[in-house]
Amino acid sequence: MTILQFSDSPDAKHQVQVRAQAVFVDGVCVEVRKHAQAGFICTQNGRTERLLAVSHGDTIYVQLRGRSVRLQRVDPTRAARAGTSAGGGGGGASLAPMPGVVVALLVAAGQQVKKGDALLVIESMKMQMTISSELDGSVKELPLAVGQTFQRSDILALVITNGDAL
Amino acid sequence: MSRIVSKIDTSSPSYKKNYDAMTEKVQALKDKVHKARFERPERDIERLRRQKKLTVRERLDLLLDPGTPFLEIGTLVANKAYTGDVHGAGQVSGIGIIHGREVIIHADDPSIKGGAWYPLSVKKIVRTLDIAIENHLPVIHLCDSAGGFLPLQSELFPDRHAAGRIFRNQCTLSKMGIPQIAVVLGHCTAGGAYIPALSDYSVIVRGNGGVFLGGPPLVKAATGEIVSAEDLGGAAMHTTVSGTCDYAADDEPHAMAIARDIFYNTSPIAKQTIDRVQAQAPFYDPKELYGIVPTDWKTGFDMREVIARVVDASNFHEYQPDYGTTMICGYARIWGCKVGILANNGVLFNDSSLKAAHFMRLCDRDRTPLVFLQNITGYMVGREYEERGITKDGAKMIMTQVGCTVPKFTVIVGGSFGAGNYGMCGRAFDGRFLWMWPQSQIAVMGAEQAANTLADVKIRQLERNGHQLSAQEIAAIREPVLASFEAESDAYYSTSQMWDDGILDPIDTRNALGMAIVSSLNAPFSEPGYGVLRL
Amino acid sequence: MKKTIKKLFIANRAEIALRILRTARRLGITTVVPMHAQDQNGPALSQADEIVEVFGTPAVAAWLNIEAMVAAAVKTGCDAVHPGYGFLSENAAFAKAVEEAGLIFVGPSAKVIELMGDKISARHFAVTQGVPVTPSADEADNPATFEKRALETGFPLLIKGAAGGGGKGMQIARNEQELSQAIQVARAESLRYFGDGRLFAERFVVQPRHIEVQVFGDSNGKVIHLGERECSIQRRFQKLIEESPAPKLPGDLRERICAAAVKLASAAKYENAGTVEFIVSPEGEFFFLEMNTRLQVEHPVTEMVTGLDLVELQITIAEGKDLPLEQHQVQFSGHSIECRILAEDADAGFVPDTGKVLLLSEPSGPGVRFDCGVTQGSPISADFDSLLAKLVVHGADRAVAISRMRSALAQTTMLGVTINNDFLSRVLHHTAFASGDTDTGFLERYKADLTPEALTLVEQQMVLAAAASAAPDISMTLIPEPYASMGAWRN
Repeated sequence: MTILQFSDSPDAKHQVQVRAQAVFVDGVCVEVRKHAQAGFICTQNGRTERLLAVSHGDTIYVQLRGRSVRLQRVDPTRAARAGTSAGGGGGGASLAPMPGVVVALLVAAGQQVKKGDALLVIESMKMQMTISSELDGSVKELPLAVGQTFQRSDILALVITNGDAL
Repeated sequence: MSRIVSKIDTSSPSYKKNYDAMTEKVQALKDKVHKARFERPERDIERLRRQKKLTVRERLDLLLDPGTPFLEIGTLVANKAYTGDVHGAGQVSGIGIIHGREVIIHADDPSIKGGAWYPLSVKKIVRTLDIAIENHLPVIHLCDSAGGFLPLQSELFPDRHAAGRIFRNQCTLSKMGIPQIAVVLGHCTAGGAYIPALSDYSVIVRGNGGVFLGGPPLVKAATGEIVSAEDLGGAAMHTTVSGTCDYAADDEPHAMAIARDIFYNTSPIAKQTIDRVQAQAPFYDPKELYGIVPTDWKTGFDMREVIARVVDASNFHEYQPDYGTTMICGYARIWGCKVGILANNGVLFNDSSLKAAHFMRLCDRDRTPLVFLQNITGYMVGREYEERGITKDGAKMIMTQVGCTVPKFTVIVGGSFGAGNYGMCGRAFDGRFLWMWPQSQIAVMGAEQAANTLADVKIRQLERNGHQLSAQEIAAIREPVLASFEAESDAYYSTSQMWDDGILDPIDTRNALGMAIVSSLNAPFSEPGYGVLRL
Repeated sequence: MKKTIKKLFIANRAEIALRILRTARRLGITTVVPMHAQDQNGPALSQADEIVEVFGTPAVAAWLNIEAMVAAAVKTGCDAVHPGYGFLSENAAFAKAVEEAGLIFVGPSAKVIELMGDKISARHFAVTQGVPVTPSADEADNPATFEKRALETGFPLLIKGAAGGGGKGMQIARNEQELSQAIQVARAESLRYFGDGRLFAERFVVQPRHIEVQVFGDSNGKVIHLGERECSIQRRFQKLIEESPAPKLPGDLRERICAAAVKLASAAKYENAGTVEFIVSPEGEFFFLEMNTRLQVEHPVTEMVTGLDLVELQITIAEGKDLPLEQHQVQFSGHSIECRILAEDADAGFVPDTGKVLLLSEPSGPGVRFDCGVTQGSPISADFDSLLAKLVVHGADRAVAISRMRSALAQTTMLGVTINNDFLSRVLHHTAFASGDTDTGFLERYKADLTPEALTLVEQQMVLAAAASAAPDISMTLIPEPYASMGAWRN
């Protein structure tokens, strides 16, 4: 079976096996018929729905009655589990959850901060977000200046615990 | 071929009597099978959960293609052995489907005595791998065993077909080019460590899986070294340092997904072609088998009625219909595969033996698999028959049967006694599979006959010494023999010792044969031939 | 002075470019639309009569480049420039540059843009016209005491950039502790977006309704209104859902608000399209917020309810003609609602999303209008605004409009990027929305109600089955006979 996971719940893995006219999902048989462009008529447990689905690389987008969901194909032989957390880079590195621009720097390098303290404000497509420190320590680095743009997962701030010698 | 004309009257009292009796037998079988498969002490299941382990059936659900059949082998092995609760000898074996291809599973059942290997467990594993070798079936080992059951080590360790044979079979499979994947879900200690080591691919679960020739207690005792199971032989070490295992899985579902992915990448085995067309269901209702076959093996019935409810469209081409009538020979299809059927309709005579031999030769030469439906008390005895050479004719039948290189499958429908068992491809005769029915019997001779024979011997012996036996005393000699023979002729006794590959609900016979025949096509047939016939 | 517009330069992109283009085409006007190398999939590009390539890094800079935009319009021989909304539409310097180049600017004069574009001067002007405004403190009066005066205005406070608009450069301070940071952030944002860090603080009315009035003025001083729009469903000061007429607005209050808007526009000698925005308190008081000197995003709801083509009116007035109708000739019929389809994950805190429109399926049906700014295959990047399309419906009454909007939202499909249609659908299904009890705190107040329900098990299974079927690299497993026929048989 191929393993699929919903993008918003990566810990739950689902097995799917495509057969003629049906797909087995976690051992349950769902009848599937192709319908026009990107459409699939699914029947399970007496219920029939029309869904739209389109794939792009390892990501598959599905729409059911106006509600869209994103899924990922998982390669079971990959040893490391893919886990993403917005901002968490491990340790004190704050990663950008999405591309954007720095609006305001609220601390300075060397400043002592506590977990949860606001470090900087970023903005993307009219939405602002405050990036807070993940731990108690001092601000090691603020690599970007106000007005600078960044991409997703770029480091926005680095905080080190006071015991660290870096 | 044409449709067998059924002569059964489903409203007759004898039909109803048979039907009720067989229904009861089948229900009893289902209850025992259910218990063996699913009933476990609560604390054993809890222990599995605490260890984040799945039950063996849950593992198979994740491993095998959903919505596909699983032909389990030896479900009730050990049902009359040990403490009576070593269900299936702590093993689950069977033929299943992964990515549309047949595999054979050897799975330790950790919910039965920690998956410990009893002598019958070892026998079952060896049998499983023998089936793999004979039929060229890829093997998936689901390893989760506490190791050998030490109190009975002499019965499971030293002999030719004991534990060592497991590893010998693994090496043979590897040399034959048949893939083996081991999934280490628990500890593989000592000998057990060789299972993943001798497999082509091995997957190991972090935290639970461990492969080591000596476990932590043994290591401490031997050298004083103190080391945890995980450090000694856990997933991280074996997949990054020693290279003994190939893939580390985070949990059991992940392990099964990896195993499936590995299997997907092994090359499919080219199959032997035989005469095969699209399948058709039998014309007659297989449920009627319940009313046709009496549960008392001494009562006769027409085997054609059984054949009619097992084969495609109930079509049968009978060979030599008017000669050797106690032996039915003919062609039919089971799940589309043309097979040669030999079925008993009485005692074997000269003519029936010769007919069987000739028919088997035809099938072997023309690459037609053979199906034996046994209900045989033996060959005819008596002076007339001896002078006519019944022994020679029986020998020709056996010699021919052994020479056959097409796959052979046996179902003991009624009784299987004495030399009749031999000619009709009993266990010793290299059939690919052999099954019993719930009411069938197997022994060197019938219980009554045995009791009488032994009582006779005793009576004569005592009479020589001037002792006259009373009816009571005679009974006292006969009863125990009768009882022990009856107990040891029973299908459940046979299956407990793994003299067969399982007891079938008669209705399942068709599917079991179908799956077995198609699976056997993974191994190419070798050239036909046979030894010297005493003509 | 009258001049016929024969060729129009649309200094914009995406859905509004297409919308303007449609009217222009209907009127027999040739259209020119700018194109950037990173924005080649807009639907207007394939329908424009001419395309002219523009340059800039980042791409948005191209549309903010006054010289380049004017040069492109001149080079292509256009008579007029329509700025759309956003970008340079409220930039007085741009309006001036267009006129100095000898082209017609479809919009009000640079002077009026300047007057109303500066929030502070606009407020002062409103006060002089007797239009009510909320208590406020202007930094420019005395920068040193600004924070203190802001404090005295009373919380909650809205700190805004004086030169700002469109929801940018605004921060709420709920109490004294939040004031400093709000000022700091608002100033930084205003500087960045508008090049002007001046601030003012105004009292934030609790549970206000955002009501705005569409006005039109011609060169003869005639000003009419085309009714009000309610735009209270907002997140972070940006409108998500707009409707016309405003539900549960007492008739006389409506009259007074529209009259105030007309008065303001008249006094400013306003020409062309404009919108006067007010906030209305729960007690029925209304306060002037700001005036937008351009065509607004949500203008379609007014069009649906009045049957008028606002872009056509704009062009008419730009040509120097009079407004073709009197106030009493404006008819209002039925109810219209607009939902903004944005590329964002509304349930994850309205986080913008990027990607590509792999599959586009537009809603349709009676009373449904879909102004779409993307085509199938359009890449969605962080470079541009997240508004991908506007879904507008009309119905005989509000209930019908809501019903039509619910169906249309369910039909709206843009797979490959997360859009907010399902979130909007939940708002449309909320009892408070259905009863017309909307104010700008709606989304925050009903946040818990608006969280999505988890998919049922069967729904999950269907989604997984469809996903598996859609992935071309998930191959079908052929189960051979006899196993396929045996199914899940066990002995």
